[in-house]
Amino acid sequence: MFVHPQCPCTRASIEELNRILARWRDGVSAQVWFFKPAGFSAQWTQSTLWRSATAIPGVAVHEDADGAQARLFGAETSGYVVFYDARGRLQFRGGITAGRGHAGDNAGEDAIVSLLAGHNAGLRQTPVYGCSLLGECQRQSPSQQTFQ
Amino acid sequence: MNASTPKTTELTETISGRIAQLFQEQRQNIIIHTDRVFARLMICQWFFAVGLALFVSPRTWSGTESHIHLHLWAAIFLGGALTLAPVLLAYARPGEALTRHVIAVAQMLMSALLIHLTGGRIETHFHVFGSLAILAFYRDWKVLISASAVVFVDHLLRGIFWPASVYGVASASIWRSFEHAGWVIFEVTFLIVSIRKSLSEMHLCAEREAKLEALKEGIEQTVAERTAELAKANKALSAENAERDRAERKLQTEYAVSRILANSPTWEQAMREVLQTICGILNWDAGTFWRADQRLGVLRCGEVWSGSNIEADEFKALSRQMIFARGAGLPGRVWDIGQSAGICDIAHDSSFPRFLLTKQGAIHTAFAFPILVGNNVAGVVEIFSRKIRDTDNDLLLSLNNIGNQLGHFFERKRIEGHLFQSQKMESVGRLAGGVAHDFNNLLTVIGGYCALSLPQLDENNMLQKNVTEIQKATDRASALTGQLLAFSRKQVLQPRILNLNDVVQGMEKMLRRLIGEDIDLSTVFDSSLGNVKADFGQIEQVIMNMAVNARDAMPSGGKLTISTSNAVIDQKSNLRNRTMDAGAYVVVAISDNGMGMTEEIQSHLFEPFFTTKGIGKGTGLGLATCYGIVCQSGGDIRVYSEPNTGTTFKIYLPRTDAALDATGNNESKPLPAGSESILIVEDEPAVRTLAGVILRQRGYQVQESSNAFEALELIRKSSPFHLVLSDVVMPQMSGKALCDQIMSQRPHTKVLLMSGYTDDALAHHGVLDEGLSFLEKPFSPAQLSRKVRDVLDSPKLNDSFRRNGRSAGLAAV
Repeated sequence: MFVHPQCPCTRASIEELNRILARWRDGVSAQVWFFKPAGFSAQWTQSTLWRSATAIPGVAVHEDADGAQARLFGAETSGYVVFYDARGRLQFRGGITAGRGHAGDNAGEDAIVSLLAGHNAGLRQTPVYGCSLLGECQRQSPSQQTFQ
Repeated sequence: MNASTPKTTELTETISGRIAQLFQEQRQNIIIHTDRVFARLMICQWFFAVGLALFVSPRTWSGTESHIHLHLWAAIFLGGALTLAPVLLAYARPGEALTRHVIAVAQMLMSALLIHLTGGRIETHFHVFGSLAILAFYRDWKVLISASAVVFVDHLLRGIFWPASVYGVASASIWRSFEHAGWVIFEVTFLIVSIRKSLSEMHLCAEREAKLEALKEGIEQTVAERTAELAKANKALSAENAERDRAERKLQTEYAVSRILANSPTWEQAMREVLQTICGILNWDAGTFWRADQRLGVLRCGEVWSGSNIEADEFKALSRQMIFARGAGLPGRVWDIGQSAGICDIAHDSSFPRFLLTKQGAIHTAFAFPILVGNNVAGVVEIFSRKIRDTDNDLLLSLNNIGNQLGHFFERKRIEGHLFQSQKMESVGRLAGGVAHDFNNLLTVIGGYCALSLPQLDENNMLQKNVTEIQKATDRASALTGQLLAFSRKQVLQPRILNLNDVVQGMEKMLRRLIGEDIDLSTVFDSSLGNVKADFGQIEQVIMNMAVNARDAMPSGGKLTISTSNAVIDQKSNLRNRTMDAGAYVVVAISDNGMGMTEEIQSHLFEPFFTTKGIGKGTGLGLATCYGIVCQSGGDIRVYSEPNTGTTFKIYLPRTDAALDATGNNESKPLPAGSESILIVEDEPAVRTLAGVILRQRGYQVQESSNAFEALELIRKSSPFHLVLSDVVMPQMSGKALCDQIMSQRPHTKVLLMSGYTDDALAHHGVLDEGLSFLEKPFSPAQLSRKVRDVLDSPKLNDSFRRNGRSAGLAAV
């Protein structure tokens, strides 16, 4: 998951991640990358969202210096999740909330849970509700919609 | 029943109207209150929306760039717009339907905004339900309809065109909006039911309140009516109490005055207490009693009283010295008009004689009322107050009543004084009479035997001198007895027609000798002086007595004038408890320029045993005797005297037109004799014997009898008597009764009655009945001889007696 440290809507995404990992912690490597622009202090990055993410067991939290990882995975919106299977194949990408800042059942969560359960996901891509992750320097992906 | 029906209908209509009014008022109050609740709630919601936007999404980020989130602006401006309009209406036009519908719509739009701000969170949709519940406060289902319509349209439109805003999802089924609308309808349905029930309860409350009001109003009206009745009754009671208080004070005063007057022996003591009582009960501060001096025509201070709360010593001292002429000052004015009068503030009335003093004593109001005895004012009572007071009618009436009471008291005292004097005179008279009867018998015997003895003693005989002294003492005793009878008016007068000029002229020589050379006697006679009918001897005694008193009043000499005149009294007058009738009078004035008398002495002048002379010099009977004689003759004596100036006694005797009686001086003639038969009837043996001796010496045939029955027996059995000489006061039958018997049996028998005291047996008011012959004891042998001869020689004397109703009898006995 790629997170903008100051995006208020991403709180719901962190909560959804927590719910998924609470059920499927084993065999899952969860990585959360917090955007850290160059010139910004660590304090800016290590926001409330950071602390919420680090509190989730089994989650590895990283600083994404200058959004390099985000660019690498094509993340444009805070709360963007990519899911790879054990063979490294991309199984899912998109948001895991039903709306802006909405926790609760949603299509993205269902897809990931299905994948974790070994089933096929109904959807492989969902909209992401959050702030623009990289701003002017972000690269638009045709498959990713950003809602603010 | 019929009358009450329209009233009941009217009452029902009134209550129905009131119920509707109360219901409407209550509903309107709730609506206005709810308007205000929403006004405050919406302001709070606005701030909440702004706060929510600040909390949830204050800024929006784009990489490292950020700017204020659109939601914050929406919360501020859109929220503000949704808030301000209804809030303004709530305060500007509370209670109006437009206001609450605007509020309802705005509240629902605020719900939509909040839902949007929270990203369509389903929890925020509860704001809609909460708002509807609060809108139900209006208890107006139409408001709920407006709100529900807005909610439905909002959900429908946003659900179609912007589902993320309302549901937080990118796309939503249209049915979801209907589902939301359904839940809203569900709530609104029950809210409407609740509203209807609530309105029903409100109506019920209004009905109860209206009925309660009607009941309360009825009770209040009843209470008001009762209160008004009570107030009226209280007012009437207060007026009655005040009236009763006034009446009680009036009665109390009159009763107290009556009690004082009943118990007071003198007017001086009575007036002192009366003034104190009147002022005390009627709350006046001082009072003065002015007594009318009718003779001098002035008012003199009889009594003055002041309360302890007033400095009035100087006022009282001055009042005691003052006199008022008729018409002068307040008392004089009241005396003049015979009615009450007052001065409201004497401090501002410089004509008030005691103006300055009353000013010092801070006396303001003066009121005076007359003491009326019939139509005459006997005195004036004056009362003073330090307060300025009105003399109301009650006070006037009460004081007039008291004035009348005092008038009756004065009149009563006058009559009592008269009665007392009469009783005193009666007592003295009875005493004198009792003494006189026996004493005169004794004096008759003593004097008679002295007179019989003296001619038989030659001058060289010592016994002649002794007998002469006994004779003189007898004469003095006789005079004293006569005086006692005279002042008590018990003597028998033998009046005849007199001319007082002749009487005084006849006495002149004797009077000059009596008064001495130091006193110049002058006489002034009215040549046209009328005649009077009086006892010659008694009148002489009166004039002599007056002259002696004048002499005693001029120890160093002086002038005594005796004048006579005619006078006409044109009005009945009262003096010294005696009334003198109007008419023509003859006046003998005896004036001296001696030491005069004070008023105090004058007031006691004619009382028996009152004398200003030293002990042994006067008996105190002289003037009393004079007064008795004159009064007995229908006249009066008036005294005018000033200390150190002199005194004038005026003797008034009723004038008569009758001619003078012929008189002759028998003293020088020899004692008459006769041979007629005489029966002497006398219970006192000594007198009987003496009379027998005298008459036998004069040649008469005398028989004696000790009582009337024996005498009648003798008259019946013996040859006829020419004369019966009888005592008057005898046991069993009086001389007068014997005379009557003789007159009926022997009409031509002459009767001569003799007595020292007759007790009105022979005399009417002291004057001898016409037709009776009378000889007063003590008599001398000469007086008896002459009287017997006179009676025997006057054959017609008893005729008039017979003409007066007695039956005719024998021509001779």
